[in-house]
Amino acid sequence: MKGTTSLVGADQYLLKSIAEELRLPLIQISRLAELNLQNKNINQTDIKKMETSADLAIQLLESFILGVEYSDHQTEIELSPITIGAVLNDVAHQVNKLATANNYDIELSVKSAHPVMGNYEAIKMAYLNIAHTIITGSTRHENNRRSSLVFAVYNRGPKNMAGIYSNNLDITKNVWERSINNFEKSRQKMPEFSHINGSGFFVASSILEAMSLELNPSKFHGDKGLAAGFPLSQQLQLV
Amino acid sequence: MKKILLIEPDKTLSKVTSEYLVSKGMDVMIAEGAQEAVNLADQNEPDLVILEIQLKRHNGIDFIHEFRSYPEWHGIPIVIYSMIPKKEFTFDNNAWMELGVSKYLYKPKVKLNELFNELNEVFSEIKI
Repeated sequence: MKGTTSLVGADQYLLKSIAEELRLPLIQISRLAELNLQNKNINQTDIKKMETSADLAIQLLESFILGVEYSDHQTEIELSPITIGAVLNDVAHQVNKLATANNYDIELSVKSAHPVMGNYEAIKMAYLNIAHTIITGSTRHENNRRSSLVFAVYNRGPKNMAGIYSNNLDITKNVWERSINNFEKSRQKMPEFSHINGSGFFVASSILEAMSLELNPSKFHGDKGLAAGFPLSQQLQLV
Repeated sequence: MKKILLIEPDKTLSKVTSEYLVSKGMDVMIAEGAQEAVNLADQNEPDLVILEIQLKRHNGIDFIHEFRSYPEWHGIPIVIYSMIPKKEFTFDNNAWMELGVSKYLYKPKVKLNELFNELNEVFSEIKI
């Protein structure tokens, strides 16, 4: 995505500082919920929802902070050989409970195990945000209809494509570009997709962009989603 | 019962963390700052210290140096549980070990059950 860093622009330090401060009350809520989940006399469902909401918000803030640090070169991104399928597998496991609770069935389709250069934790964080945003942001659930959430890795030319797709996600190139253009002008950034702003997508994009990777709308077996292409290294394939 | 000295400047977090660890069978003393922590440790020697490195009026690293200056507390493990990520320090793993820091846990990512598991891991390693 071009120009992601300009989304935060000159105020990025202030936004980062606000994000850092907002973590504390969210951690208080999350940990208080965790403590109360031990008390069987309290409505566990409501407490669990509260804990999940706080944890997702913490994750989003952490990712935003990391994206700002990367884009401003405050934090050096250490790259090492990784298999992107392992990252997506990790993300799929981590979001499994949230997905199930929101009527999503997770599928993993890893058709390539070529190593690529990347930062495992940063890429994981980016894809976690994409998955969380799809799961929690979609307004298209109909009467408990189950939706799919597909984590796919496949080769396309000289790249390893890694994306998250859903039959419940209507994200096209036009929607994506319009959302980026809407960022400073509109309260609702992605009305085609969600009542929320879809910030997780943009935060993911900024993290990937810091590693010279571009997040774009993509299709996989008819499902729409967002994917990035990781250049395959011939040297790494020989290792 | 393991005695924990929890050094945490945020009152809500110290209360919640303490209640959780007590519910798991630990004995927890709470200090908001470095001086209070030293006084508490002096009165009732802990088996382990949990430290938020970002303290009011004090730097957590200075606290560790002061704590380690008492020979009788040399062997007490310190677990950092902080809002500041480890990567913000220039210390390598050896430097943390020399300070007697057994674990560095990043608070936004480590929940209470994980903290409890990490503490048990430290205890099993030192076999108190």
